[in-house]
Amino acid sequence: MFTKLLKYHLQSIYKQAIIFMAIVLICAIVSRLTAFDNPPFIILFINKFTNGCAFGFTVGLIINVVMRTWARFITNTYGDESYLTHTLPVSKHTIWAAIFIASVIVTITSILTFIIAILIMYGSPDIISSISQFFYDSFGTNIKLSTFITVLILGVFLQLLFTLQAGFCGIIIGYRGYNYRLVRSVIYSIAIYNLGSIILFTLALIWSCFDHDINQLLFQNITPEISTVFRLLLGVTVVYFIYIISIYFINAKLLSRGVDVE
Amino acid sequence: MPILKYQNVSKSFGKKPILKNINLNINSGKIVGLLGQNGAGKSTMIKLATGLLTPTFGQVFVDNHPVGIASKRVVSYLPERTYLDKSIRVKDALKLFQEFYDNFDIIKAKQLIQDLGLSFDTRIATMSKGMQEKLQLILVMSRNAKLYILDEPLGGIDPATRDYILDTILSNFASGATLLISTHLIADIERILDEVIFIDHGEIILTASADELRSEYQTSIDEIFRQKFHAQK
Repeated sequence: MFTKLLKYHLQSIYKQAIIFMAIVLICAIVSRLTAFDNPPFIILFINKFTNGCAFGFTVGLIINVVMRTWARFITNTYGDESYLTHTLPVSKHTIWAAIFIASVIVTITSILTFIIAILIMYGSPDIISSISQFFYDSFGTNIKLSTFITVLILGVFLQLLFTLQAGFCGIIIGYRGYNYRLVRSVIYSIAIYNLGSIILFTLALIWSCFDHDINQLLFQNITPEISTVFRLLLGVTVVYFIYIISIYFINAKLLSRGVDVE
Repeated sequence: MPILKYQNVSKSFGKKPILKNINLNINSGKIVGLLGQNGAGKSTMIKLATGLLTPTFGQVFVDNHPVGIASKRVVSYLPERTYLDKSIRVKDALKLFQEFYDNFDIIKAKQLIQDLGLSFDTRIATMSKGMQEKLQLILVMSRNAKLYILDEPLGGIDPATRDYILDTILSNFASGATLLISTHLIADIERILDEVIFIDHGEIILTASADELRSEYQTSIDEIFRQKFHAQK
């Protein structure tokens, strides 16, 4: 049942997302194909235009999947389609797990689309070698570039997923009332997201009290060591991971208490 | 053993009480009419039985199971609204029901859809409201369920379509199953009812056999309903 629910969620979300993904990749390909030295004006224009579109539509893609996932959750859990969802012979936890995993998958594919677009537009052995050399010249060999980039991407992914989960949690809490449900959901979602940010900053503050390097990075105008930046990035990533796991179980618990559809 | 049982069930939305201490048993193999005026609590009672609402107090049992996965396997529910994703096609809706319900008879459903003159490639969004409701009815009645719950199946439908809906209901529900129909259009439906339940302001005011009621009052259920609710006003 879980895989069937997941399939229908992904079909619904990807109906529009796939268009954005296609545009991003097509623009990236055209941008790369028009990347000449001293091109004619029209080729230069196409190159810059498609380059900008690739970035612009990536932002659009991310906004689209986030909003569409939230909308899907509301329609499927509390709106017209909930009349089918909640009468299926599945548990509330299965219903929740399916939309959660769908949100993870669409987030991953959105970020992957962006990464592939970047590689299409700018990837070449020379450029990668130049970036690696610059990284090692600037920061030494304490941290591998590939490790740094991996943790950075993971941090972005978890931050995006946390945004989605904060929205889900806000919707579930907001829809437990009977009036102004959507307004309440928006307010709760913003509050939960900001609470997460406040907790994260507070933890960083506490950390800085015990770690001189982190204190220097956060509060002093000194060029940081890359290892310090990496540690902070890793810490933020761990905190977001804990957030996501915690919110998953909080949402599962809230939904297990039952819903009141519209 | 009752197929549907409400045990001390109350439901409020915030401070507003909708159902007040409902105690009701509905036995198997009957066609039961849940009758009441608009806002009486009919849909709320039905949604509690299907898991769309959670009782404030009390519990609802279906086939001796509290409302949950086991009860949802044996209940086939037709809501008063279109719940299918309107962007999908008729064949997608059939596939969805076949995937999620073990007791869905796809052969019966396909036959009924062909009898309607519908193409399997028709998108639900392009269908009229009446056609959408017919499609949903076919999907619901093509399940071999123990309890069919139909919430206002005749609301907003032309008289010819009402006859089609009633005929489809009567000729397609599983043998030995129970049919619970909520409606305020009593005249159209009373000919098929075995039992009636009158509900008003969230309380059950009458449960009886339809034939016995007609014998006692020497008039139609529709007229009895009008008398009861007119008298209360």
